[in-house]
This record gives sequence, structure tokens and C-alpha cells, in this order.
Amino acid sequence: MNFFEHQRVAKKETFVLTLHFIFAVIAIIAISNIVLFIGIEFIYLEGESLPWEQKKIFYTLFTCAQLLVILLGMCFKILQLQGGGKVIANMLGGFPLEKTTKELNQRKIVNIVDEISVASGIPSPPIYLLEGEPSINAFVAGFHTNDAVIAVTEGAIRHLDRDELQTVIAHEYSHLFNGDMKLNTYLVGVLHGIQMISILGSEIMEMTSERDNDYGLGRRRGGGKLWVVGMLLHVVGYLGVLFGRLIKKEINIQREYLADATAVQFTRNSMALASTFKKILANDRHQYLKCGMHDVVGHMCVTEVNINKRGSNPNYTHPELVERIMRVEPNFNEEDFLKNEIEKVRESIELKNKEEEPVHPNILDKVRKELEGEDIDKSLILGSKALMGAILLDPNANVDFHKKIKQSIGNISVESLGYSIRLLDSIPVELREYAQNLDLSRSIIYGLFLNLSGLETFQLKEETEKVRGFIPKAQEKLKTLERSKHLPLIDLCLSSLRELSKKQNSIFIRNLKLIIKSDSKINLQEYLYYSIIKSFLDKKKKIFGGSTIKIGKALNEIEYLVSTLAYAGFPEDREGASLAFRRVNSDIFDNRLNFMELEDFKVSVLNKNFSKLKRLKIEEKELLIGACISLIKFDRRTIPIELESLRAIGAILEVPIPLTFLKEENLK
Amino acid sequence: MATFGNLLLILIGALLFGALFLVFYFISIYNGLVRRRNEYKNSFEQIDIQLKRRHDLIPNLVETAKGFLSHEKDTLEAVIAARSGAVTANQNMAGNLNNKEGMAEVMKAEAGLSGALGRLMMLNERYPELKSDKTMNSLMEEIQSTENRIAFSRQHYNDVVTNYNSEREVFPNVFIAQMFNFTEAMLWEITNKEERENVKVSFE
Repeated sequence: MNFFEHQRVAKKETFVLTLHFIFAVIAIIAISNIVLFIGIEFIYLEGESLPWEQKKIFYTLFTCAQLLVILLGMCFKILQLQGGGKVIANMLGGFPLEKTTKELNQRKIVNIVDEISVASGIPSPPIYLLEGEPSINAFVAGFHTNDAVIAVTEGAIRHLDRDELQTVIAHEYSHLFNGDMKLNTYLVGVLHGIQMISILGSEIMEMTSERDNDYGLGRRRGGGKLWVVGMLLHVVGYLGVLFGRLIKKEINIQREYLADATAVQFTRNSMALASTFKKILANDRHQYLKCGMHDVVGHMCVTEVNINKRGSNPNYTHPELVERIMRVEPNFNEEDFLKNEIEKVRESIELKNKEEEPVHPNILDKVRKELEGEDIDKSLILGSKALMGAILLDPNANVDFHKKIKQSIGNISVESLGYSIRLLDSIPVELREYAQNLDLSRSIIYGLFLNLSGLETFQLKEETEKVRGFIPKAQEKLKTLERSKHLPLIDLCLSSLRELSKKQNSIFIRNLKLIIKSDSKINLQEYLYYSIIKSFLDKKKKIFGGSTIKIGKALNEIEYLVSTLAYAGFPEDREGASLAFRRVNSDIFDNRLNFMELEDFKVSVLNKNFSKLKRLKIEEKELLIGACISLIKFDRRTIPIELESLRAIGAILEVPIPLTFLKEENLK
Repeated sequence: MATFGNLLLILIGALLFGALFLVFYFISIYNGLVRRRNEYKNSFEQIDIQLKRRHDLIPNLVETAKGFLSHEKDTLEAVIAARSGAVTANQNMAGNLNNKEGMAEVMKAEAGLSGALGRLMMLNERYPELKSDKTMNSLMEEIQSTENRIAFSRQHYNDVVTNYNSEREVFPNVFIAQMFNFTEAMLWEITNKEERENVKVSFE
């Protein structure tokens, strides 16, 4: 692609089109003057004439008024955008990225923006992330380069590789570089002004027809004449807006070509731009920004954001993607691509949609802000993100209980942060660091399970040398670790383990199962840890649609669960257990439960019960968990197994509860 | 006679006006040249900044990679050697753009460093542990970004230098350029064969 040539053509086209636009404005003013002239000379005055001097003043005033209206319309639009890009990005639900972020995906975006800043010689603007936005898109907003922001959707980060992201950012920079925000604001402003003429016309029409009704016959003739003038003004203004929009659309399209060509100039990588377009073409969810605001940022996006069907709609701001691909990749064959390749691209996108974790809100950065000035080990802060449950939450879950937890995450207080940092701090540094490594974190979990089973060694199947080699060391370290530190450590490991591939995942789970089963007796602790890990790593979550049940239908199962929990919370104290059980039974379940005499805990029974409890309605699940919480609160002290149980119950019932939510204050 | 006097006045006026115009024209050419010269000097600074960034990152990278690559000592040592060579060359040149030999030295040393880094990056492909390590991953991202920035800043520098050079050579600017000693600026050229084969880091 000869990008300089493309740029030259696009600039020339823009110039010609802008001239058209200006001519159109002049023509509108002239035509409306003529309309007025006709109206006044032939209809209103009916052949009588005024002195030329007066007429001259009148028409000059009229023209000035029109220009003023257009100018005011323009100023209004500019003022609207005066708040700078930040306002718009915030309105769209963007989330600002810190330039010092350490999270790899976000780091990548920050780096890419800085790279393009070097390539273009424009200082880098603030960056926003549009979370939960599945389309592949990005935009810049703001009137000047110095108050502009650049925003990227989550979909873009998820589906585009580094080179492709670079072209997207470069495209946005080109809009900055070429001053497209200004141009568009002027155009929109002028159109707004022209629209005012049309509105003025319709106002006159309405006014005069009202008079007709109010005053009856007497005013009809004169009003009728004015009504005609109003109608003519309305039509002129309307046509003006229509043509103005068409011209504006053409200008926008030329600016897009220009931005594409400039993006290639910055990155010298036309192939990546072409493959970005292909991905957008293949992504079924590319059509719109979920959050709306099309008219404000639509023209600054990489691709079309409008949801209506394409056609002659003048609101479209972007050229056809196929046409754009053709410009950057001249030997692109549309038919061939649509027939053979597009499915492949689509599949890979769908695959990523399914398996990849969404980019989470950068709790970490908020935390750092909160702790400004305090000197805290970085790995501690990183780890506390895991404890605060950022890794647990499925952002698509729309549950009240979830919302509560989400809120507690959103408003991270220094206390809850302090809590998780204290928890982490008591774990040996080495373990903490190993937990952040994909391989070593597996060794830690294996070591933990081996210790629980009282085994020295175990023949793990299909596990790598590195993972196996580290297990003895991990076992050694874990022996001295207090039980209350197990859960935080598991959480820390989980945040690394979600990067396991599907195959590694199933090997890992299978091996854990083998370790648990190796000794004849399965203890509750093993079962709980296993449940927490398994339900977190289980990628194919089932949705229980349709067949939900109420608490009344699962009383036996709840009985068993609550009794088990009571026994676990009051080891060797049957009295206490039954007391706590009775309290919860009367407070929450209207005494519908019977305390069960449990000899021993049985995995098979628990599993069977849970598979039924999973089908509870979401509100009922929350009730059940609430009951468990108040059972634990009963004696005003929490022992590790209670927390572990609660955490596991939440995990199994698919209402994950982060550790920080389970901190002591909440349980008293 | 009065008409002749008027004519003379007009003529003198026109001449004066022409002379004034010429003066302003030359001033504007001179200013334009100065502006472009500053522009390319500034963009050279940009390259410098990015090169420094690279020099700063390398010790970290080598330190982290050491743990995984104990039997690839040669590659690591080559990177360290190339880095210190590049740092020395940069110090010798001391940001003086007229020091053509020094500049050529810097370009050569940096190209050597790029080559050595490229070989280290290749190793990344061969050792899967490297890829799964978080510190290594974020370092790789930084290195990749820095390599891109260096490439982009050179590209920017070359664009600006080309602009300056052609501005300097066109008529009538060439006279002013010679009069005020606007010397030709040097393009940043890729001297090393390996570097021409672009360093690629894969994160997939």
C-alpha cells in the first residue's frame, strides 16, 4: 500500500467535500432569502413595495440572523464537547488505566499507546478500557489533542494480537493527528445550525395554524400566507440538513481512509491492519457499542457502531470494511474470503470468547492509589487481588448477593485491604512467590493434598518434571504453615492456575482426585479444598435452566448440610452443635429442619445432596448461605474449618464468596 | 512632470516593497530550516531515550533469564557485552550530531545489541518455562515494546531528516542553507544483516 498516495487522495477529497459543504451552507442561506423574498413580495405585500433601502437592511439582518443561528448551533456543540474526552469516556463506562500498571494485558495497551506516540510525535493521551464490551473497537474523544482520551474495548484486547492492536491504536492516533474531531465538531455544529432554520420554519407553521383555530375566519388569509413562508423555510432547512448529512458522511468516510493510510504510515504494517478488519468482519458482535452514544463517538471509532441496517442511511460514518481491506491489501479477494476464510476466523474468535477470562477491573490499581505513600511489598498487593475475589467473580452473573460482594470489592476499604495483606504477609515469602508461577503453584497444591493424606510421595500421572520436582520442597514448607493460611494460599494459587490449558486442567484435577482416594479415609478438609479448586477450574459450567427447585423440596439435603457444618464448627461438642443448629433452624427455616445425628461424614452423600442443592433458585441459595453464615457466627469465634466450609459451599453452589468477605468482622 | 514624479515614487515604492518581501521571504526560509533542524535533533533525542530504556532493561532481563538458561551462558554474555559496547559508544558520541564517526559507531553497536537480543528472544521459543514465568513475560513485553519504540523513533527520525534534507536542497533554500551552514543530516541506516530480519517475540 502506498500510504502517502492514499493520504494525499483522501486529503484532497476532504478538501473538495468541505468546499461542497460550505457551498451548501451558502446555497441554503441564499435559497431561504429567496423564499423570504417571494413570501414578502408576492404573498404578504401583494405587489405593494417597500423602499429598497429598507429591504436591504431587512435581508442583511435576516442573513446575519441565519449565520448567527448556525454559529450558535456550532458553539453549542463545541461547548458540549468542551468537557474533554474524559467525560465521554466516563459516560461510556470506561475505566481509566494507570500508566504504571503491572497487569500484563493492560501493560501491553499502555506500551502500545506509547509506541505509537513515539511513531507519530504526539504525546500519549489517557487510556480508558471499555469493560464488558464484546465488540472489537476503539475510539478517541475530545476536542483538542491535549484533552483527548483514547478508549479500547475489551473485545479488542481479547481478540487482537499485539500487532493488530497496534494498528487499531495507530488508526485512532491518526484521527488525533489529522484533527478529525475538530472537523467533525464543526460539521455537526453547522448541521445543527441548519436544522435550526428548519425548526424555525415548522415553528412558524405551527404558530399560524394555531391562530387559525383560535381566531377563526378573520385571520385566516394573512396567517395562511405566513404559513406558506414557514413551510418553505422548513423544507429548505430540511433539505439543507439532508444534503449536509450526505456530504458529511462522505467527508467522514474520506477521513477514515486517511486514518487507515496514516495508521499504516505509523506502523508500516498493512497486513496487521487488514487482519484486524477481517477479524472485525468475522466477529458477529462487532456491530455496535453496547453502551450507546453512537452520535458522539461514532465517527471516531475504528468501525461502524450503528445498529441499524446499512444502506443509504446518512448517519453512517465509516466505509464498508471490505472496501477498506481492499485499500490496504490490494489482492484481497472478497468472495474467496467470505467463502473459505471467514469461518475459520469466526471460529477462533468464538473459541476465545468461550475460554478466555475477561479482563477484570483493575482493583490492583485502585488499591495502590488507596495506599499511596505506604511502602508495601508489591507481591502482597498483587496477591490481595486474588483474596478480594477479583478472580472469582463472573462479571456476567446478575445476582443480588453477587452485587453485594461486588460492591464490597468495588469500594475497597483500607481495612479489607489491610486484612488481606495481613493474611498474605503471614505466609512465607517463598510460598507466595511460587504460588504466582503456573507450574510451581500446582506443586504447592499437590504438596498440600499429600500432606493432608499423610503421604510422602505419590506417583503423579502425566505431570511435568518441574511440577513433580518441586513437590517435596513445597511439602516441607507447608508443614509449618498454619491451617488458617491454607485458604489464602489456595486463592493465590488459583489466580495463577486459571491460565492452565484444558488438558493440563484435567490432568491436574484427576491427580488431585487420585491423591484424595489413595488413603481409605477421605477427610472433610480434603473434600473442601478439592471442591473449591475443582469448581473454580471447571470451565464447562452447566446452566440449570428451567428445573430450579425451592427450599421446601430440599429440606433433607439442607438438614444434612447444616448439621454437618454444625458438627464441624463444634468439634467434640454435641451440645453446642445442636444449640447452634436450633437457633438457625428457628431463625431462618421456621423449625422445618431436624438435627441429624451424624456418625461420620460421607462424601457420596454430600455430593448427592449438593447436586440437588445446586438446583435451588438463586435467592434460596443466598438464603442457605446466609443460614450457614449465621451458624458460624453463633459462637462468635471462627475456626478455619468453618471458613473453609463456607467458601466451599459457596463455590459448589456457584455463588463464590471471596475470602475478604469472610473476614472476622463480617462473621461476628 | 508631476506624473513622472509620481511614477518614480511608485517605482521606488515597488522596489522597496519587493526588497522587503525578499527579506521576509528569506527570513521565513531561514526560520523554516531552523525549525526542521531542531525537529530532527529532537527526534534524535527520542531515539536516544528509547535506547537508554533498552540499556536499562537488559540487566533485569539477563538476571531473570539466568535462572532458566544456565547452559546458554554464551548468549547471555553476548547480550551483556553488546550492551556495554552500545553504552560506551553512546557515551563517546555524547549526543553530538555532528560527530559522524561517533554516530556510525553508535548505530553499529546498537545493531549488534539488537542481534544479540534477537538470539535471546529465539531461546524464549525453545524453553517453555521461560514463557510461563510471569516476570519473564512482563520483561519480554517491555523489551518488545522498547524494540518497537526504537524502530518507530528511527522511522520518525528518518522521516524528519528526509524532510529537513530536501528542504535544505531545494531552490532557493540551498543558498541560505550554504550561507548559514545547514549541513546535511544523516539517516539512521540498518547496518547489520541480522537486525534487518526484525526481532519477533511471540506471546501466543
